[in-house]
Amino acid sequence: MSDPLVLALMSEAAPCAALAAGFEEEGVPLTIEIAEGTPQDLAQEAAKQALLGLGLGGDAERLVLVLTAAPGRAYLEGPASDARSFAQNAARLAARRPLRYS
Amino acid sequence: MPLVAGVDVGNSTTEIAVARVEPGSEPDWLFVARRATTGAKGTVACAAGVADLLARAERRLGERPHLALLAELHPVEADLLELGRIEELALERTAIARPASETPSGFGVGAGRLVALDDLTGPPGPETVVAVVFDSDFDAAAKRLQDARSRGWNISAAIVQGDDAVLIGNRFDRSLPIVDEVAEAAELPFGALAAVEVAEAGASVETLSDPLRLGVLLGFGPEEARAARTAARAVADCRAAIVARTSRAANGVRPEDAPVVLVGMDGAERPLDERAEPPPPGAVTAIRGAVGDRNGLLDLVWRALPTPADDPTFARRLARRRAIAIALLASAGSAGLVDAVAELCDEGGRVIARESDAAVLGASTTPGAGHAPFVLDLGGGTVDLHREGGAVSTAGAGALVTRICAGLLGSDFALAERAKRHRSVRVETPFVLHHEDGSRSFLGAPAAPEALARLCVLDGRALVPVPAPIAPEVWRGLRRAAKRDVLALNVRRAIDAVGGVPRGELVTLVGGSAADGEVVDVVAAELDDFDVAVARGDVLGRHGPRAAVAVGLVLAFAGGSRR
Repeated sequence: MSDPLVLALMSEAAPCAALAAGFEEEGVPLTIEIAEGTPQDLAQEAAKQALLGLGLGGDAERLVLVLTAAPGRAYLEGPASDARSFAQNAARLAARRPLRYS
Repeated sequence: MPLVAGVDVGNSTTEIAVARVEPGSEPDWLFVARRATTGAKGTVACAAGVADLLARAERRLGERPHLALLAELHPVEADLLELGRIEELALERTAIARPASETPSGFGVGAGRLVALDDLTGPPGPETVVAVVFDSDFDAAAKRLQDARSRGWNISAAIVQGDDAVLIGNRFDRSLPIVDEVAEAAELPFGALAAVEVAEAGASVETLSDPLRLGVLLGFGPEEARAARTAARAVADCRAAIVARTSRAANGVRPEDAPVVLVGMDGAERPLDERAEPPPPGAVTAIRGAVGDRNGLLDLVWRALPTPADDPTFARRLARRRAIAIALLASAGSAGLVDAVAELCDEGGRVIARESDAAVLGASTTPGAGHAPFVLDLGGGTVDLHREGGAVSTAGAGALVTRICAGLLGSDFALAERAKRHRSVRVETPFVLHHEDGSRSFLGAPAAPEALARLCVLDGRALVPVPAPIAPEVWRGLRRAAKRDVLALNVRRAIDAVGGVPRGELVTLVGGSAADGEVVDVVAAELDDFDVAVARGDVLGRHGPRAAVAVGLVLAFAGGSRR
């Protein structure tokens, strides 16, 4: 099986459905796997495996996106309550489309 | 010896030059500075900016200038008029036409009566419907659409208020045309005929952009051909669009045929034709209509927005707007400002010279220029041609270029001003910049997320995103075209008005716009056929093309040309 284009490593309590909906609306494939760790650590680990050079991590509180080329700090982050819009921006980043800001 | 301040209040910038002067002797130059003009040129509000510059001079020199010297002032207004928008507003008495959706679902065309999804609960009606969805839950909306269809409703398309088209389509009907992000969905004319079209990715709508097909689809009669044409034009080149008929169809109101009327020297009125060239300076004395009514005009210039040959989609969007930038040069008294500035100095303030005479004197301080016989002052509001014995002022310069840039980019004036002066890039990925010449460079640290995939102004090291979805190469062409269309045009008009420039003559460029190398390029290109030498001024050998008038006012005072 090939590596995922975009990988999200999420804790069980993370808002996975909203995350998936955000990627689906933007038409960008996303693979979600359940894992344990801090959002930052999970995102770094996901970024190592994903083909498009970014990874997502999250828990019930926070969501983080890390770039493979700059894994030391979050490139995007947001509260889990905004999972849908966070996911749409993450998908836009993967698809190289301009992000949205409300 | 008195400490005097030459003060040049421009449309964009106010400049000050301070020197210790003994009339008849060479001034001792002590301080030159500039800042943004406060208020409309010539109004009392400009005194605040002058006061700030005088205070800065006092802090630097330990002494406040005793006397302020000003030039005669003629204000310029620069505005952008969207004739296409006027037509669209008029159209809304007949139809509503909107581009929609970055992420639509399905493809093709669907038409029918507009019905809210909430109203598809009863027995099915006989007609095809376009469902309008307000649900915030896409799963629930998809189930309700499925339920309505299973009970016999013939749903041909859907309009979704939120950003859920793909999610709803994936759960309901992947082929049904669904547009989303229609914020004003609640204001749609429910019960009226509407059509929705979604093109495949990378393509544009074909049916709604065709006035004949649109007319058939929505039942526009021959008397509504203009509405069909305007609606079709409003949605052309979009991937997804909606057109709906409104209930106020037959009120007979039509858009004005002439939104702007020009009044000539002889009092004759004629409509402004945006495709025609502007008349010579002085030929139009008043204007009426959509930009307001103005009398006492010295000049008027209009320019259509430039269109990019290498981006036909953007070109079509611009053409549809029919936007024209207009600059009006009015004769207006500035006695109030002179009085206000006079109160700022112990010995008051006075008008010492005509702006043209001051500009020639200031430009002549450029090393090697000698007595500069032809000076082109490329300012914020006007392009002025100064020469011995006279001057011509033409409406429209740096500020009009900025208005055009703002219109092209969809930005505010301040951002357009930066975009006018600096190169641009597209941030392709967090680490890769695409430059105007097609080259790429790499960043050591990732660009900010808000800059990603956008055209950005490269202002020093800062990446400033702009709204327009165009390539850097396209923007470079448009930016240069805006400068050429305004500044080179007015240089040509001014030269024509004085009967040309002698072959081999030196033409010195001064003013804030002349600090821009691209402007110098386009003006020099415009003057190629005159076989003249074009040089950028360097006032006092150290201020570049700026402060020529302010310095010239002090020189006029020193030379004893008091009035």
